[in-house]
Amino acid sequence: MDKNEISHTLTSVFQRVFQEPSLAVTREMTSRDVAHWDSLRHIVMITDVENTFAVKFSLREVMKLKNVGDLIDLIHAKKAS
Amino acid sequence: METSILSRFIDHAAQHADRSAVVVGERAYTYGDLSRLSAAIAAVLERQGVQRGDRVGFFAESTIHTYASILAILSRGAAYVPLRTDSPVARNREIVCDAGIRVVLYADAEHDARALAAAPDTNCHAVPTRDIAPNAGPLKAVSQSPADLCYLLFTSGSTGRPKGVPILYRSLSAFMATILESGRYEFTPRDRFLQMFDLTFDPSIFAYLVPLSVGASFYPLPRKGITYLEVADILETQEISVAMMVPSVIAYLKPYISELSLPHLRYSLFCGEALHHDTLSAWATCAPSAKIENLYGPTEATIVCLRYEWRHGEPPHPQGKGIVPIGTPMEGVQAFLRAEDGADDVGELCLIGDQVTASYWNNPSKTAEAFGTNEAGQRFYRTGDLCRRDRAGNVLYLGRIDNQVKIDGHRIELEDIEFHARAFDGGDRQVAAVVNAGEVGRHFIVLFVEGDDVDTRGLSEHLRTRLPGYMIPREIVPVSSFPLNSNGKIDRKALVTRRAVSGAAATA
Repeated sequence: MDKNEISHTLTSVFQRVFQEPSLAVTREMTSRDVAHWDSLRHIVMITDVENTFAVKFSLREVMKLKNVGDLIDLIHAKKAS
Repeated sequence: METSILSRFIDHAAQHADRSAVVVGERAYTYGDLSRLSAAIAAVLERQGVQRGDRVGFFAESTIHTYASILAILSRGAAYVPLRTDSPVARNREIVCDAGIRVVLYADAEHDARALAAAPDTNCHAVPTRDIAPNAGPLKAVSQSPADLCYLLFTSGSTGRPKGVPILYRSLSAFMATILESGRYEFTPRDRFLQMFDLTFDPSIFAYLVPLSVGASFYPLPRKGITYLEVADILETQEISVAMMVPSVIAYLKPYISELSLPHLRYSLFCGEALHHDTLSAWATCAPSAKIENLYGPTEATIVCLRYEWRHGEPPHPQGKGIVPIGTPMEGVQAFLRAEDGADDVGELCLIGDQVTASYWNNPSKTAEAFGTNEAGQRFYRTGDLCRRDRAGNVLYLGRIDNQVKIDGHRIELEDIEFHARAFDGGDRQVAAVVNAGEVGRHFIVLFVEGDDVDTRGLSEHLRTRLPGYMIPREIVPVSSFPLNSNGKIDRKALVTRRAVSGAAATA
């Protein structure tokens, strides 16, 4: 799975979690760019990502995420390992 | 006796100017830095004509200038009034007008501050603090009378307008005396305090004023991302030793608690919402050395006024329904339960003491509803919290007697949301706001609106121009009719059940 495919699938996850059908993820996107991206939605999003991509994140991995680009890279690294 | 609430801080700044006081992100500021910057801002306030008794607004940002602004305001004998950066101009304008604020300080919130100063009827100056250079000399403070106003916090009000809670120096001094002089807490200059609260929420005062009063340091959240992750990061990397938090944080962190190790945490304190025994038991495993307390206190009673010490490994309270007790009154506070039917073990929790304010700000009708005077002539505050007292004297929280809710520690009157929702679209529709079913940390607001032609997106945008971010409903659900209870009123419990069964029908 390359990063473009991950980004495409991630867009579906974000549209579902943040209930915004027109949402398209970008590498630079952060919680400040999306309505309702608060602590609760973050947990829901991370859980959805873990289930969708069949991966598991540690707290430290989640804490290091600065933007969606970091999340794409992390998923890519997990799937490659 | 007149003195200053800042006397301890001023003494520490004089004796240990090079000691760390505040760490904001990567940058540490000493007591000297903070004192000199506060002095410079105090000089600006003096030039603006701010005098003892005036109310001064500031935007609640997470910068050294913001904390220096608070100290500067208090040093002038004035009262501070924090304004949320995520509140629309209309909401902050109501606060500025109600409090009679003439000066609003800001660090980076220039757009919000200028919009506020330009709003109708505000008659206030927006004063930037970011470029103020520190004074050569330290902060000096005027004496304050116990009867002087210290700060004015605005909470959600059921009539659609924010409700002002005035706290006098008498009340804050009583709280500080309990924390610093009761012997229960042994804080030292080596302690590192977490400051996770928005400055419009009064536990923030514990998190910055207590460390500054004992020569310790505090660590505000940078507020750049997801709160619970920032808290976890600071707790570990900065080796925090004193942390007051809302229970939602550890509820969010629950899946990761086994990865956390907090051997430096000496005091793990909770306040602001119900604390679940199971979540706390899991949390305690990562903080084995910490003294753990569940603290309780409405804004009207100055930060916290009841406490319960939770012992590692203790079982759930048999009458607690999974919730940790809120314990017994702190020194100088009296608590009693007021029951309609004369029962003495269940009733509305009422509070008496120097920590308890005597009224709301400019609001006689709400004051009459919430405050009373007992046979001994003492003022008491009716909290609206339904509680039980167990045989050991511990108070247990059972729920609210009205429609106030807590979300991530934020206190919200559901009628406040309904008032502004009703005003949208002509004002003819019935509306009802509820909180979804779920445990602490999983709560959000659902707004039900009558009709099958509801402009949910337009309504959501309307509410964003009236309410702070934490009060915006997550979901707006059109309904053809409302379920009614036996009194003929909208049955909120039935709506919560309906939401739980059907999920979201429409989204804000």
